[in-house]
Amino acid sequence: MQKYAYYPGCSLGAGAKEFDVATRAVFDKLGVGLQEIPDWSCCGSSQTHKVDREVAAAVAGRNLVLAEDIGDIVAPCTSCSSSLKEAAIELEHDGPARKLLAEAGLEYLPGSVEVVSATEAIYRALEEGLFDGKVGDQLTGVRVASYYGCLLVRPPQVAQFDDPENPVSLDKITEAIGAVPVDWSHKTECCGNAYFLTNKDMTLHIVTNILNAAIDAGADVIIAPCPLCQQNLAERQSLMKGSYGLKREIPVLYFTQLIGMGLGIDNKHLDLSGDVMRLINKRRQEVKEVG
Amino acid sequence: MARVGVFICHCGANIAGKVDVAKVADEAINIPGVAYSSHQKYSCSEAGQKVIIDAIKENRLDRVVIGSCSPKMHENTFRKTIEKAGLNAYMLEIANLREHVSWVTADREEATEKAFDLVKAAVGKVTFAKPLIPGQVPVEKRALVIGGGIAGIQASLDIASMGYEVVLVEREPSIGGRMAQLDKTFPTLDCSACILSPRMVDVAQHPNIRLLTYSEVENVNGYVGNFNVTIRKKARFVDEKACTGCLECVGKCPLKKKIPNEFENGKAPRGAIYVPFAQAVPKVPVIDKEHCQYLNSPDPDTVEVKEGEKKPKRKCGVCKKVCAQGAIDFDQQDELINEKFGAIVLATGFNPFDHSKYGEYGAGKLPDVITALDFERMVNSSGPTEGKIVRPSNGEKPKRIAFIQCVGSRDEAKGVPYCSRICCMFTAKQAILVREKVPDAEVFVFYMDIRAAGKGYEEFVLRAQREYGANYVRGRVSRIYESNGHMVLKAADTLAGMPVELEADLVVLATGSVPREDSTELANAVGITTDNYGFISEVHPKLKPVEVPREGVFACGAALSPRDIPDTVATAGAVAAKVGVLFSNDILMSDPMVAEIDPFKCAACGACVSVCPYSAITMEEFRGKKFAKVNEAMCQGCGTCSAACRPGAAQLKGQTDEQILRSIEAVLQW
Repeated sequence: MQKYAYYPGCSLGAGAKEFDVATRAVFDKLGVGLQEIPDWSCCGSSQTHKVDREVAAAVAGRNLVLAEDIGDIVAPCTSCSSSLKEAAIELEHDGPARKLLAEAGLEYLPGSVEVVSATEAIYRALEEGLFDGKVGDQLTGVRVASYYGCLLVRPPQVAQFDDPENPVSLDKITEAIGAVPVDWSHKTECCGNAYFLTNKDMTLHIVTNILNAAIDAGADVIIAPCPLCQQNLAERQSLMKGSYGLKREIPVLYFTQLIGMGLGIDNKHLDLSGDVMRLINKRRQEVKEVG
Repeated sequence: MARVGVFICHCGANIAGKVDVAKVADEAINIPGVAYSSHQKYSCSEAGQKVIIDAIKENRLDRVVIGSCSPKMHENTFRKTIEKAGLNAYMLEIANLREHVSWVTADREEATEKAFDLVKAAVGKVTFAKPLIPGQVPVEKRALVIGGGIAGIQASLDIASMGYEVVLVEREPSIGGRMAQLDKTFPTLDCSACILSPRMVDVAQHPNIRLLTYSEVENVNGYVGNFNVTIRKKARFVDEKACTGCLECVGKCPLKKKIPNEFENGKAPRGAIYVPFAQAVPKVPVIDKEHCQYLNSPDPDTVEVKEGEKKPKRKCGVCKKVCAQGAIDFDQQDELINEKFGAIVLATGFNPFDHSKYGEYGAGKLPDVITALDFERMVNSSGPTEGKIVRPSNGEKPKRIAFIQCVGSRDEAKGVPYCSRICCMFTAKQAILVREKVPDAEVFVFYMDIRAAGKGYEEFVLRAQREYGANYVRGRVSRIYESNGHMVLKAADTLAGMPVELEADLVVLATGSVPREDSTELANAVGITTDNYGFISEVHPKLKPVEVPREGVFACGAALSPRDIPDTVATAGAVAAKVGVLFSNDILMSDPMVAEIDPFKCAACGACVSVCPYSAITMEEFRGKKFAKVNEAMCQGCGTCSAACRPGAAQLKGQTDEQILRSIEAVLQW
């Protein structure tokens, strides 16, 4: 059985627990193993590299060394996968970052592990035919707007996955699980998460535009591959309904939650709220009635 | 004993700045065989050459080593120099102390040491050089021009007017190329077709030009003055001699509104039998065999039918029925033409960048985001909208039009870091055309920099801005999406320092220039090289801008790099002049550095025959003994046979095994 080293990162243990639960359930269903990297540490995320590039690469790189015995790394959070990918690039040459690791008694072997996001890993599984025979009709007619955010496909030289300006991988996955991908305009627009605390007003405007674009395109539900995006898009909708002009509330799921539904995984293993379930079932019913 | 003269060149500070030239010259005198050694500031100058000639005469030198720049640069210069002193031109060896040493070595001592090693190797090699005599080959004074756009048209006319025969090969049904697709031209705003059509007619009527349209070059063999070329003349299914160009057939084709016309960038239809545009030369239609119903229906003569079933009939055939001249010939086959030429001109032009690579601009899926070439056709009175500027989505007149420059130019992320040179100008022109045709429409142009470096160009852009009121915004558009029937552009205004959002009805992308999709294939067929992008490489970007590394082959126009019509016409004229120079010779000296095979050493194993890339070696028999023989006229001097020959019978003159071994020995021993 194919097996990845699993790097959950901090978000998946806290605010994005359902992402962790659903991701593990989907990989299990697809027959792809996940083994958590023992004693994994902080990826450095969006802060460390601003202070010191080499230190950032070493901090994230520690996890690459720890994963060497298990296999290629899957990091569901796109901020994590981006940091780890960047570290792998920085560590390719024998520079200060590798020396820092050596000081900690860790030897990095270039090319020994590849880092992929959960989206990439699942997209590969789709291409390898691992979805075959596992998809039910749970999502028939459900219209899905795939929101990619920034780090999943950008910067292209780090992400090395999908088209940086017009990504389609999540849409193809959506189609494969029996749902209807909607073509919409804001799939890679910034969600403004980094500015939520310093410029809340601007962030809420940005998010409202994204949500309204999905609503205008006729989406029933939005899926996101990143805890920061999901949090930003999902959890402040009540604030945006008034003066910001949000047209209506729209559920925002982690993409693995939706895939899990499509693969017929029991809801309790996907941590889905009853509201979302009801909405999706209602949509299915409507489509059935129309024929 | 050989008497070698060593001359070390300073090349100003180019070599002397890194290499201790005096030291190299002083030590060189101790190399066995060296009878004279000196160093000079510029060996290639007239004074420098005189020093060499005098030294040869005074010291009775019989061979020469020059430590200078690359042999590509001045080997021929110095061959002539030593010839003037009475030596055979091939008793010369160049030690490349510039490209191989001074320009690529940081440390002065290391550079000096390496320079000395290269001089030693050259002395070792030249000591075993033998005089070589070039052969003579006649020149076939006919030129092949590949590509019938303005570049190929101009080159053909100029060569033909010098009195030489020209065959112009164009793969489309008509000549005219990209220029025929344009509406007006910058900066004079004269109509493209009006200035091009007369030239197209001149080509058709010139007694020295033979036009082969709907044809492609398949294979090129031979060498300067004597190329053997295979041309595939694709079946047109219309007899060119019988056809009068009445186009009755075109009007009657039942598919006449069904197939996208390539000439109109697919934005208007054509039939299965068609001429691409009204002014086509020759005005003889072609039948597109991929779409023609007759050609795609089963042939009743060959189809097998079961008993009792009727034989199927051919479908359609309307064109044949309506043709009064009987010019339609469904049995026509592709024809392979083999001809000999003395020179080949590549004028294969360019393609516009494929904007489906711009996901941020809708990946080619937004109907109201069009390319500059689409716009040219739209604004042209014979184009798909008969010159009306409309929104393709609903046919309405646009109220606001946005132009975006540098789409597929100066964009490393899309693999096109270079500037396409023409887009600033054609965008300004298109902005002017919009304001002339739809005066109440607003025009916005998003640009990075304005590059208007041509005669009257900057003034033209200023006119677009001041006289015609085009609003220029400096900044790149990051995204286009559709909202409420408008195209929404998100951009930065870098002069105002703020993000801007603009709703437009029509967006025109100034798509950059890229090579033709098969430019590298053609380059391989002709035996030349292209750059990383696929544009044809010239020998020297400044001093040999239309010559390519294969002698007798020239290139002009946008096949070399993006360029506008004036530059294209200028290079086409330059090519004609070069071909004229070549054809002013009745015979050419062939390079004597070719392979020869010693019949006494040859074991007749045939290894050389099978490895020779130019089919220049054949097996011969003399009095019962077999041996391999080189056709010196066909040999290109690559040395592959020499490397493959086990008994050492095949030797490349001027690069013999002995010379190579002696040069290695020289570096290792002294």
